[in-house]
Amino acid sequence: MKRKVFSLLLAMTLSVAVFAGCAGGTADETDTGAPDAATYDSNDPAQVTEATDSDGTYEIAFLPTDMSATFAAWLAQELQNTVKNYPNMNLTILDSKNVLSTQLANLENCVTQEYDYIILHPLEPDAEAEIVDEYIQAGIPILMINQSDGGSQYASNVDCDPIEQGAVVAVVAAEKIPENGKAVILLGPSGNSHSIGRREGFKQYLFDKRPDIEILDEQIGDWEKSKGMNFMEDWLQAYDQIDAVIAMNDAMALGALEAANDAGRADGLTLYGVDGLADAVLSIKDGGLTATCVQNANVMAKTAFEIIDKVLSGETEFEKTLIEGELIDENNVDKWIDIHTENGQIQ
Amino acid sequence: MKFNKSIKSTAQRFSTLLILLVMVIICSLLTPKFLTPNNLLNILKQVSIVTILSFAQGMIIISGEIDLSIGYLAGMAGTFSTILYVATGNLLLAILFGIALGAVVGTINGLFVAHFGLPSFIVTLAMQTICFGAICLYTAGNNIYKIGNYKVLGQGTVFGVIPITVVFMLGMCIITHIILKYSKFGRYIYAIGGNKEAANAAGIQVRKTKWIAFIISGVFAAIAGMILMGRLNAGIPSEGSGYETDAIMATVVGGTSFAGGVGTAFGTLVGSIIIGILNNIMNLMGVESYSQQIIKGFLIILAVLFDVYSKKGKRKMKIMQTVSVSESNQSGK
Repeated sequence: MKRKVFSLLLAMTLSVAVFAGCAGGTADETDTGAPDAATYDSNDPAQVTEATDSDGTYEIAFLPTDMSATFAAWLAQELQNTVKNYPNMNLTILDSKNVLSTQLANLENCVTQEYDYIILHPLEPDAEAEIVDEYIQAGIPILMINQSDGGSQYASNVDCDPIEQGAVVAVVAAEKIPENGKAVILLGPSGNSHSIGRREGFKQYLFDKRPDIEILDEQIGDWEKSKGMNFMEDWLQAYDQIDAVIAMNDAMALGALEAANDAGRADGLTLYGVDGLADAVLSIKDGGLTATCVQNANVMAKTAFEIIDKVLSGETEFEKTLIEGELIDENNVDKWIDIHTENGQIQ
Repeated sequence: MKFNKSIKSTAQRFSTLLILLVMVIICSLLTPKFLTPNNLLNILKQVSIVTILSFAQGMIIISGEIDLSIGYLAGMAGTFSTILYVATGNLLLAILFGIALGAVVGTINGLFVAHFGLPSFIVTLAMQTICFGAICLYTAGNNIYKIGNYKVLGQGTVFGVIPITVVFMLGMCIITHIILKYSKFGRYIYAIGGNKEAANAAGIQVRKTKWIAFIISGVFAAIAGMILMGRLNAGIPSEGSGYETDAIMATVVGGTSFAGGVGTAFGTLVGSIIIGILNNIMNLMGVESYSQQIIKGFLIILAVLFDVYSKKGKRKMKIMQTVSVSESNQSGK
């Protein structure tokens, strides 16, 4: 009896889940909730026709890397806001949950369902470029956003050059770090193109121009706040003087800041990061973080839709654009607090 | 008394501790910066969160299962707790809520593993994504900032010097020790991990015991998560990920048998500190990043090798003596 009740419950739960999934999968899905990839069954004819039977509106899919990542969520939100300016376009979001195979499956499903345009926020641009080109040649235009185009020939691209992101902050650091200052460096995951690019930016615009600065140590912090904190705690034990923390993202710099505050050694210390999201902006306001560089998702979304509009109206086949990274420091931090309050990152 | 001896022979304790002592001696010869009160507190502070998770993992591994959900659960429970704190300003309420969440997730793990008999590896792996999905659904991918006094949980000090995280860690160590050594439940999980059938035959309620183990594990994970968020001075769900494997490593280095039935709270603490010292000394010495990973991997294998060989032969007898039928009957029914 018990078992029967349980299997009944289980069956009910499953069917509810299936229905909920289908509801989430309609092409006019616009909320920020992450629809499941499994929702899209390419064998289901009802869904295959869905993207094309609309009355002259263009169906556009956005495939973010990971909706649980703050930047991807912000980008998705800005894209949703921007699409409202184009009454003939409809945006659907399909989360890749930080798994490449999920992203590729989503891409495949979008092609099967004959979306008119795909915005890909690639997890591995180099690995995806080839298949992207194949799909474009088969007739579905694709724009790769927030990452390089990975060498794709035909994809449109809107990105922020990672070297420039580092350089923007490095210029400030070169001014602020004292003569013969000592710095520690926190890197992103090994092999990550954005970490490598940002580091190159710091090399060109900080370390090459200020050879007097000594690099005490350089470690991989995997973008994580806790790792930045752990490394800094050890460094504070090992070195009597640390003047600057150069981190390839804000989270690691903020972790280092927590450690420095805890040890009472934050006075005179300057910290530099990249990303410019809510945590960093609030910290700059409080006099913690010194400077960061933001990839403005708002500008990115607007630029993307300008390109999409041109491509869909036949004006061009593809377009590749680099948007500028913007410096955030004490001088313009209030503006960014407003921006992040508006987009919901700061409540 | 007999029971006491059987759970941990002094030799077994000694081997892990010996590794620790040798490491401390070598490290203090390598650099004068190692053996300072500040640096030692620093190491303890850094390992405290993973150690609390290791106590949870240790208990589960002793019972012959594994709990891969603890990292993400810590991230979820910790972040939800910070959210509640920001909303209400009531620290006690926030902590109780976090603990309750941990207990709920532990109960669900236990339901599927202990009651329905599904493999714990799969159930808790699935629970990872459930926990992460739940918190991200709520926060829409944003982290929680401006958590105010919540950070006391991770950055506060006792008497102005001892980091509060270290106090938590030692407190949890004592609690785990008492559970494992002095409670009926503790003796049961050794028996179940050592030999499930024998434990069953001896009248131990295997399902119920395992279920309780998962609930305790969930609660421990939630506590670790709240301390983590306090330390980070923010609610960051993704920061919990990866801790589950670190906890397994600390547990095994600390002498817990992966086959179940063997392990102590004290050993786990020592194992975790060994790994913490490894990380610390390499940073103090300025060892390059990639080399660090290789050296750490090899030294951990060495530590486990030494541990296993130093107590070979003493292991078998322990398990079956742990809960002799007469004892469990005496105290149990």
